Amino acid sequence: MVEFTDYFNREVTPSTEYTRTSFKDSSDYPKQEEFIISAKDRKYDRQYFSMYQYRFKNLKERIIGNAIQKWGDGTKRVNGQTIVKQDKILDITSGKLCWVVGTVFCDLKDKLNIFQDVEKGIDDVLPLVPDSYVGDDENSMTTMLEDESGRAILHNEEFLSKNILVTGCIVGVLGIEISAGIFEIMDIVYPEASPQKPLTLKASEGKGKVAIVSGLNLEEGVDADLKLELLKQYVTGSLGSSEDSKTASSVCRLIIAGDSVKPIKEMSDRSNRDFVTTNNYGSKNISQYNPESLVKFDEFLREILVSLPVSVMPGNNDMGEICLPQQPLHKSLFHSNARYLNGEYLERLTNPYWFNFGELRVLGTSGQNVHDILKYLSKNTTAAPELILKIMESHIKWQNFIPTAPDTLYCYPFDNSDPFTLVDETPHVYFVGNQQQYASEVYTYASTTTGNSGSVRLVSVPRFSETGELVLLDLDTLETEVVQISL
Amino acid sequence: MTMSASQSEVEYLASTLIKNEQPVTYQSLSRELGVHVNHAKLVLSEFYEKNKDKLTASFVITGRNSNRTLIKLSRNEETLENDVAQFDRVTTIHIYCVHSKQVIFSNNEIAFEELKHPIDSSKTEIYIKNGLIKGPTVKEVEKSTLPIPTPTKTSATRPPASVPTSTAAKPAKSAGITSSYVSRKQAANDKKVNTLSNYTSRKEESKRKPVEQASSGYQYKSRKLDTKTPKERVIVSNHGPDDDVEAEDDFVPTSKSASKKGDLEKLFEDEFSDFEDDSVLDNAEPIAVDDNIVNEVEKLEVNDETASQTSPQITSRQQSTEPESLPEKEEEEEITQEVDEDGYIVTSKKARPSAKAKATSGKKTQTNLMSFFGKK
Repeated sequence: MVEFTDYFNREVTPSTEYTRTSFKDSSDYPKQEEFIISAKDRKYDRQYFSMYQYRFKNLKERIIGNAIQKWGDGTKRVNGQTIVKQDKILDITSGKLCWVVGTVFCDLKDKLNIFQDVEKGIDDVLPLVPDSYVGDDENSMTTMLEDESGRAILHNEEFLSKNILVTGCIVGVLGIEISAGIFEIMDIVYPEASPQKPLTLKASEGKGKVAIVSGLNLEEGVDADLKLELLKQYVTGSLGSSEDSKTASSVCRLIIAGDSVKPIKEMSDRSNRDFVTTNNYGSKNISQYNPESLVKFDEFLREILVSLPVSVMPGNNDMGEICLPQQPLHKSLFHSNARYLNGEYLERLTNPYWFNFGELRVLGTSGQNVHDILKYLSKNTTAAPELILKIMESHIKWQNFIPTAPDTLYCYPFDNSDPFTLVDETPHVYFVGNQQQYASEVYTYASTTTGNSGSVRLVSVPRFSETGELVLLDLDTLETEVVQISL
Repeated sequence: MTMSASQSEVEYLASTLIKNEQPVTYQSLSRELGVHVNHAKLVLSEFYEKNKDKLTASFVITGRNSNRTLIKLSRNEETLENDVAQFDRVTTIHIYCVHSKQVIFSNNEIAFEELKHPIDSSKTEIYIKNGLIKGPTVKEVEKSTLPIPTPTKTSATRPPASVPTSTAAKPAKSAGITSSYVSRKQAANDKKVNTLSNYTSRKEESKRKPVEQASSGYQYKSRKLDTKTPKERVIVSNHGPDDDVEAEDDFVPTSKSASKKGDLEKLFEDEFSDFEDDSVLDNAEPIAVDDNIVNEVEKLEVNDETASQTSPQITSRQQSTEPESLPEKEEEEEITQEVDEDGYIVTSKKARPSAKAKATSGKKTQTNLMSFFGKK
């Protein structure tokens, strides 16, 4: 047993200098602009229908391909019944085994409902988003499948509890209509996955690592968080031994995935939410943000930016708009770092964002999409890391990573497009920020039609303020590693 | 330990730690004295070893725990053993912060102490020499193109002042009749400038001095700027106009809204010009419709008949509007309105100016009224 004093000041030598691995990708990647909506194009006078329609059209074909492969149309028999394809939900005939493609709709008791608000006359107040959409009576929850012709209630509790289905996903279901309007679901088919960019992983390439951190939750006041200080010192290389500095120097970029500042406390507790009315000019309309914490965030970045390029994504609690995709934070918030703003050194990104590291495609969100789906699940479910990974896996299966927008997540009304649908590309790495715990796994999928298979590295990035954890993603091997700072 | 601290380092540590009882972290020591962070760690731990009776230290342990890299801060030497037990493999243990045993510092306070030594981005070279990882070169924005933040400028140029002004202007407008009157006068004024150069120039002359005097009466304008702006606005940062080019480019204001805004502004301007006119009328020589001037105007019109812009109808209306406004102004001139610190409009009657006004223009107004009614 080595006495711990032997470790004192081991490898602490005042001579070594480290140069950071820098990874610069000059190739043009149009998807980086995917979620940017220019100010003059921000028109809110459109209907969301067009977005749903686009999603349905795009994914339907891809589902039919997979479904034909799996179930066939009048070619396969199960238990003496022939499986037939129905084009429309309305065409389903009672007692006959068939499959049909449609959009899932979940009717939950506590979902926000604009009609109720209008009825009560409170539609000018931004409603408080509930912690769960499921009401007290969990049996009141109904999952339906709909298309332009009609709706059918999906029935089979066991199946539905195993397979997550939320509003907005497009799926193909196999089953029998057992009574009028009720469809007993037996199997499910997801859309054909979009192709992945060919990627060759070479461990020796030395692209370095990216550090992903989320939920810094900087606060105002003198209560500075020592963890943040240690984080700064770690990523800039002054903390620990030469070995630690060496690891830190392999980090080529820090991605901050949302929730960098904490909203004012009283605001979240306040039962009287009058201040969020559409009356933006009244005395009751108080800012949710403390400018001090924004200044602190700016200062925090300044300490890091001397050594490490940073990308900042807005999150739910940041000073951005409520609608997804969230646009980059305003440059005024990075006042003391203005000199870094013009290059790639300090990137202000959208949420979600498609990162591009050479051939590697990384899709990241600040976590709202996962949090929202958790609200669809039974109240007793805890946000265990396995569940988070299952939700993320579902995102890839559905080929849509924010299906609940625009139903329960505020969203910009896209005209005949849906950037949240994986139309032409599946990422290699997909991360979500602001989760309770770190989790990571590789999700491998096989395409039935083309025989292509792919794998997506899923990473759930925890809130730093609660866990003190940041995630290092190796760009060469796609391995992830957690660095925990503990007090 | 072979490392020996230099004289100045020991002096600094002794004075900060023992005399002033302030905490010292390896980072603050490195930044304060411009030494390598690892050198600072060694010096600090050496100093701590020698003064263990007076000082207490916290440590940083780095290493691995199951599948993660763990960085653990250990409160003091007693907790160190327990903390080390959490590790599967320890990379290093080094001193983090040293402070006097007499004073207990919370983690927050130590973090706050760290914040007292912010990085100075102009000295990056020194930091790199002292253990900071050298980052990729920054494509710096040229200093000259960088907008210089001037928080004072905002208070002066930004329109926050216009918000209170509008409230101040409101009561005058509230009469309802005045608003229509305003626009008519405005139109008349414009015409005057164009055509009747003689006449207007005289008015301008007489206007100038009183306006300056009168401005002292409108103290609320400046007070607002001083007291209100800093209270209500915390300017996180202020970028110059060029910095927002991107955003401004995107917003192409429609000419319609621009003209609307222009109209609005005019409205307020006019409200003020109204006041100014009052003060002019208070102190200045009688300028309103004297028979001479009317004659003069008429003469000019005759001369200017070729000028297409002025039609006789307009000028005649102008004549009638002038006197019409007078009685109203008389009422207003005795009342001063100020916006106090709470944003309330305080209306008070001023005795002195009104007396003055009576002394100078008492008779004049009477004649004006007479001439007004007489004409009709």
